[in-house]
Amino acid sequence: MEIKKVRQDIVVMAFIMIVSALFYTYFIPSQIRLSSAWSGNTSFSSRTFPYVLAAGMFIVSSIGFLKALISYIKLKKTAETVKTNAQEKTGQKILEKAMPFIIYALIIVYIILFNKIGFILSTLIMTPLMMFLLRCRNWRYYLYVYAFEAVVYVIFIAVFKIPLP
Amino acid sequence: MLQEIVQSMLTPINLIMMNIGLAAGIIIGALPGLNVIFAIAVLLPFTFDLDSLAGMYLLLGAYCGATYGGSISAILINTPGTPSACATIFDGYPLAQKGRAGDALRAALVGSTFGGILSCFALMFFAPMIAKIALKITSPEYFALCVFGLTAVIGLSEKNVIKGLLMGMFGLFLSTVGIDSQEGVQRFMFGNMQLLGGFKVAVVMLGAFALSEVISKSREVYRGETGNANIAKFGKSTIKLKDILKYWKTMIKSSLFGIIIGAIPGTGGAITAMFSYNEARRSSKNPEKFGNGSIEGVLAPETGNNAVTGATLIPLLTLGIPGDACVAVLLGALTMQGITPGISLFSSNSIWVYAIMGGLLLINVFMLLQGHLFIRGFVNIIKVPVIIMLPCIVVLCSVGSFAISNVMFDVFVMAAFGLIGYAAKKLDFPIAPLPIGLVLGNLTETNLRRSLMISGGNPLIFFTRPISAVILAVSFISLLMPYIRKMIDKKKAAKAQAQV
Repeated sequence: MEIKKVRQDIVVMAFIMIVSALFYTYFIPSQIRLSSAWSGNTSFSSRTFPYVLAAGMFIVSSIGFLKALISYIKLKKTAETVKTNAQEKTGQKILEKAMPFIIYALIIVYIILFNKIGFILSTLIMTPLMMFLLRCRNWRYYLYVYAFEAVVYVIFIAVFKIPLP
Repeated sequence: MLQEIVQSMLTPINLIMMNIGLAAGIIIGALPGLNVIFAIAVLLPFTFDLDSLAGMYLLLGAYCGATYGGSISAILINTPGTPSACATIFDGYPLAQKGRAGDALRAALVGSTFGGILSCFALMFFAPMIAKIALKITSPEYFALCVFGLTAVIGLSEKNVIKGLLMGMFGLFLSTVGIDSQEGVQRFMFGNMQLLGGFKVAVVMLGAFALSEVISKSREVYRGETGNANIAKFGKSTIKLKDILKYWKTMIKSSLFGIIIGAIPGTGGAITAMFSYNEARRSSKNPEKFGNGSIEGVLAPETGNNAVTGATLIPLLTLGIPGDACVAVLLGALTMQGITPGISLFSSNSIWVYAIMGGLLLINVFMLLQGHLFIRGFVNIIKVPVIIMLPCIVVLCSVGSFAISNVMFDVFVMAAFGLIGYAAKKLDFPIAPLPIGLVLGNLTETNLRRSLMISGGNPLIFFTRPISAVILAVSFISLLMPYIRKMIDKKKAAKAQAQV
């Protein structure tokens, strides 16, 4: 488990290193066009702070990368050579692992529908779908959630006068 | 002036908001896994159309309520509702098992109120003094203070400094998106005019703290884990107030710990609660009772953690520097209301500042009343299944982020930060430095720029001025704190082993 976490850290730190290097070399010069009319101090422009941050992130992630790499080598040396059988992956287990991503995808669909068909319809569709996916079989719970959503709607529309889509 | 302050405080809408915030805070705090930041972030959308005072009262109510609410689940189900209630379980749950849950809850309530009120007085007394000193602070010192605000949060509260630093820098980076206020230049907008004003703090908070919680909780819910299986029976309180107040020394001591620790950026309720509990046990006449159901063992951490609430506002109101992620959300809310906390606030809007302080005092009084009258109702909240909350949070986050400027773009940004928050949790990256970096970014950059202008581009200005040099040195040390703590623990363990 620990070795898996360390391996994960190596990948994440390498990713941050690449992204910060990209920002330093490409995105900062291309995304921040300095104003010629700016007559302020030339030692500090709009690019300086982002440059400092990108360099800082690169340095810190490099340290993190090296630290994780050293831990990985150490753990590899001490790790037992006997390989345990990989845990049997049942459909249920896979679904359980994927659930956060399924829910996230549902949230994205909800937001798109929120814009296209409006708050009421999209919420009416999303709520039962999410609860059903999460194995909620108590119909009363569905009603409670709808009641709460109705209250939210009334507060924002009637009290705050916010025109929801 | 006093009349004006009282008048601005005691309007019906303000009093209602204080109580709504408190009730919502207690409910959210009582639910395991949902913390104080979550409570404030979720209520944030409701403040957009409120007057700044009413909005702040709502959030401050949630802040105090959630800090106290964490004790309810700590006492009844042996799970701290918030990290601040981590020490309350040591004696709260044993008391509940003995059928004295009501007594433990009352002790927690009285302690929380006592700590909260004392903390308000500290805020009223110290904040104006610090504001006067702060008037003499110049850009290099201000920059150093911003650095300290961020590094203290990373070093004192999180174990992984590297990941904390990266998260803080990411927050600072996000603050650079949009129009640069000094030069009027566009930065990292990628042709999207919606990013002209940069990322909205409230949108980022809703995504990173609230939506990410939905995503990560979904797996537990699917697995059928709700965590509320063993709820201790709620026995009516029989303890008298005088039996609680006889521990007045412990209460005062814990409050002082809370005030001192809370005023230091990066600390917070959890550290204070542990510190207060250990000190109460050390100085108690009956230390053997600790851990087996001692009222004093509940009082100490609960007094300490609520004593943090007023103290954390000292650096926020005087310097505009948030001490922790909860206060960073409050700062975000203030900014959206057009109020810039800091030195000038005391001179330009002093009535507002004192109304906030007075309101906090009133909130603590209301907390005592609500806790006393509705405790049975709050206890029942623990029984609410998490599955009901998840779709409600999604709707609230979506509507809330849309309501900020009536644009769908913000809702998508919120969703993106929901994923970032979830990924951060999975990869053990602390989230707290992200909002602090985001809200401190502008202040940090402005003061860095001004300092370098003064020095003609020489960065040594931060080290040649004694105050900024000392603050930067402390910042560096605070970053090393986890390593120092590890070394001390190792030495202690080696010593103990040698003795055996």
